[in-house]
Amino acid sequence: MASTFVMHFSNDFPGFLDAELKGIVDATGIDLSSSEIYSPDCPFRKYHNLTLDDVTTLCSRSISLRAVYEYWCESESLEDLLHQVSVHVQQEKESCTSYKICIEPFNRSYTNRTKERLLRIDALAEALNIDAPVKLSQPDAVYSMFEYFGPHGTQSTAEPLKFYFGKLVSESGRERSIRKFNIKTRKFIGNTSMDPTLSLLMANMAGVTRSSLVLDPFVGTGSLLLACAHYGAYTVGTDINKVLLHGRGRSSRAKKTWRGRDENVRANFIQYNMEDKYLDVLVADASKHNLWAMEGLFDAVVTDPPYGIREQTLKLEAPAPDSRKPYFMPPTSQYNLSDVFTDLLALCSRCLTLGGKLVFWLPIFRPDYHEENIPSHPCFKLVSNCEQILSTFIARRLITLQKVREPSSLKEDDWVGITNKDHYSESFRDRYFQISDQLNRVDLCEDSTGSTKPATGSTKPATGSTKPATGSTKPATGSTKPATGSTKPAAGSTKPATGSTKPATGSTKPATGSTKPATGSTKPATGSTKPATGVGSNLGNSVSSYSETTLNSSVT
Amino acid sequence: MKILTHNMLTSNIIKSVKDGYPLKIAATEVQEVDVDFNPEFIQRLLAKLNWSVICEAITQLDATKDIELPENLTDEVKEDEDMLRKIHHVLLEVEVIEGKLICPETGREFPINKGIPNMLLNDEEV
Repeated sequence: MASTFVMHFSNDFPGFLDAELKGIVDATGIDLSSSEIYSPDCPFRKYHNLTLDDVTTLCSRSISLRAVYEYWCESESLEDLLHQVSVHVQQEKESCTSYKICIEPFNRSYTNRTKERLLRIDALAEALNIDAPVKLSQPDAVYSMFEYFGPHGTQSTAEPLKFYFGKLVSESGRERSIRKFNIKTRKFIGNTSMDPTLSLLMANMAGVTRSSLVLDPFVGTGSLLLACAHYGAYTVGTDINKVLLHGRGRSSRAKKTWRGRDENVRANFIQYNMEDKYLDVLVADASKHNLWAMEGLFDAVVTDPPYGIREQTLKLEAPAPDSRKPYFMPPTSQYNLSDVFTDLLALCSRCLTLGGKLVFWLPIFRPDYHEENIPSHPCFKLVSNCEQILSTFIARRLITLQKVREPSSLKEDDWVGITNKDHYSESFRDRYFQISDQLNRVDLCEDSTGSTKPATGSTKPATGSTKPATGSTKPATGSTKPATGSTKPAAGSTKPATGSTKPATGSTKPATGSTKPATGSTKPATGSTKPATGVGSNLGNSVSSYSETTLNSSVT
Repeated sequence: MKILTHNMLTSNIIKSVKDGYPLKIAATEVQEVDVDFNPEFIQRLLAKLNWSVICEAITQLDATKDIELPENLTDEVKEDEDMLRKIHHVLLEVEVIEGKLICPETGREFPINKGIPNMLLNDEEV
C-alpha cells in the first residue's frame, strides 16, 4: 500500500543529495517523482506514493538519507500543527508500549535544556495524549517534529518557516555503512584514499546493482570499488602504480614506515567480508583503451583520476629518440590533466554499456570555472554535477555522465572527448601550489608582524605576474627585494600591488580580481617557475602543512 | 587473475599488434577460491564474454582442463543451473597466482605475480 512519508536528509553533503537520489532511482526503479519540496536546501522532504518496501530499499541504499517518517501533518505555525496532530491521533488511534518525542531543527540548534524545545515537547505530548510511558532509549514509537529555520548559513528566523510532523518508520543504514568503511580501521590505504561517505555517494550516483560490473581505471587502494561492492557490484580495477597494487613502498599511515606484505586491494575486500565482489586488479595504463577486448563491458565506471597534487599523473610515453641511452628509463611521463579526462571519456565510450554511468571527480579553480570546462563527448550526456568546496580557490566537482550512444554510430574523428574550454591550460599542480604558496605567505605575515611587508610583497608577484606577462621575471626579483617597501618593487605594475594587499586579509575578493587575467594566458608558467627557485622549501612546506590541514586529505 | 578477466584482456596495446586476442595463459601456480553463486551475474556476463575463448582458456590450466563445457552457448545452457554453476566456477573461482599471459602475435609476455597481471609495456612498444 502506497502512502506518504517525510524523509529527513543529512546535511553533510547537501549538494550531492539530488544526484544521489537520481542514481538510486535509476538503479532500483523507485518512483520519487511525486514529492513536495519546501525549499531546495530544506532537509525535510515529503514523498507520496511510496510503499514500505521502497522505504526499506531507500534506507539500505541512500547515504544522504537519515531516516524516514510516516507523514502526519505539516504547517507554517506551531499552533496549527499541534491541532492537526491531536486530530490525527483521534482518527488513527495510536497505540504503543512506550514512546519518545524528538524535535529536529534545521539552521538552528537546541541544547537539551533549551526552553523552547522543552515547551514544544510538552505541547506535543499533550496533543498526542498517548497512554504509554516515555522511554528515551529504544522506545516502541518515535514521534518527530521537524522545524525549518531558513537556509543553511543564513541568520535563523525567529520562528520556524515550516513544520512537519511524523512517526519514525525506519532509520537509514547510513551511519553503519560510513562507519564500516572508516579509513582509520582499513587495512590498506594510500595518500588519496577516498572518504567513505563520498565513496558511497559515488557508488549510488553510478547506480550500481547486485549484478553490475564496475571498473575503476585509477583504482589506487580501491576505496571506490569497496563502496560499489557494498551495493553488490562486481569490481575490476587498474592502476599504473605496480608498487602500490602489490602493497609495497611507504605506508601512508603515520608512524609506519613500510606497507605490510599483506596490504593490497584484495585484503580490503576480505576485511569487509566482500571478497566475492573482488574480481581483479591489473597493473595497466588507463590511457590504453584497447586493453579491453569488448565494447560495452562495464555497467559503470567510478573513478578519481589523479590531479597531480598528492599523486602524480602519469602515463606511458615513447621517449625522444636521442634519449635512448642504456641508463635512460622513464617508463612514464607527466599526463596533462585535460588529457586524463578526455582519455577517460574515450575509454568509457568504448567499454561502458549503453546507459552505463561514469562518475568521476574534476578538480577546478573556482574563480575560473565554467560549465564548458566539463569534458564532453558525443556519446555521453551530463546527469549531475556537484561541487565540493575545498578552499577559497579550489574545489572539485563530482560529475556523472551517462552513455547514451554507441561510438560505432559516430565517425571515428568524433570518438575522442573534448573539453570545450580547457581548464588546465597551465598545470593544475603549478596553479594549486601558486595559491597555496600565497596563502602560506599570508600566514607568515600574520604570524610575525615584523615581516609583514616582505611577505605581502612577495605574494603580489604570484598573483600579479599573471598579467604582466612576459615581464614576469621581474616579480621574481621583486619578491626577494621587497624588504624595502612592497609597493614599489613591482616596477612597472602598480596594479598588482594593490591587489596583493587584499589576500592578506584572507578575503575572497582578490580571487576574482587577480586571477581573472590568468584564465586565458599560458604565460604564468614562467611566473610559476619563480617560486621554485626562490622559495623551493616553502613549496615543500605548503605541500605538507596546507594541503593536509585545509584539504583534509581530500585532494588527490 | 580470474579466467573472467582473461576473457576481457587483449595485447592490442602493443604498437604492431592487430587483435592480440585471446592471450595465451601459462600458469605455474593456480588457486581455487569460493565465491557465492549469483546466476543473474553469470547470465549477464555470458551476454558479453567470448564463449570460445572461455572454452579454450580452461584447457590451458591443469585445474580446469578436465571440466567439460558445451561447444556452443545455447539458450538452454544459459538457463541450466548446473551449467551456470560450472561456468561460475570456471570464471570466478579459479585464479592464476603466478604465471604469464602471452601475446598471440608477438609472443610478448605479461607476467602475473601474486595474482596481479602486469599489462604495462616498455616505452618502445607503445
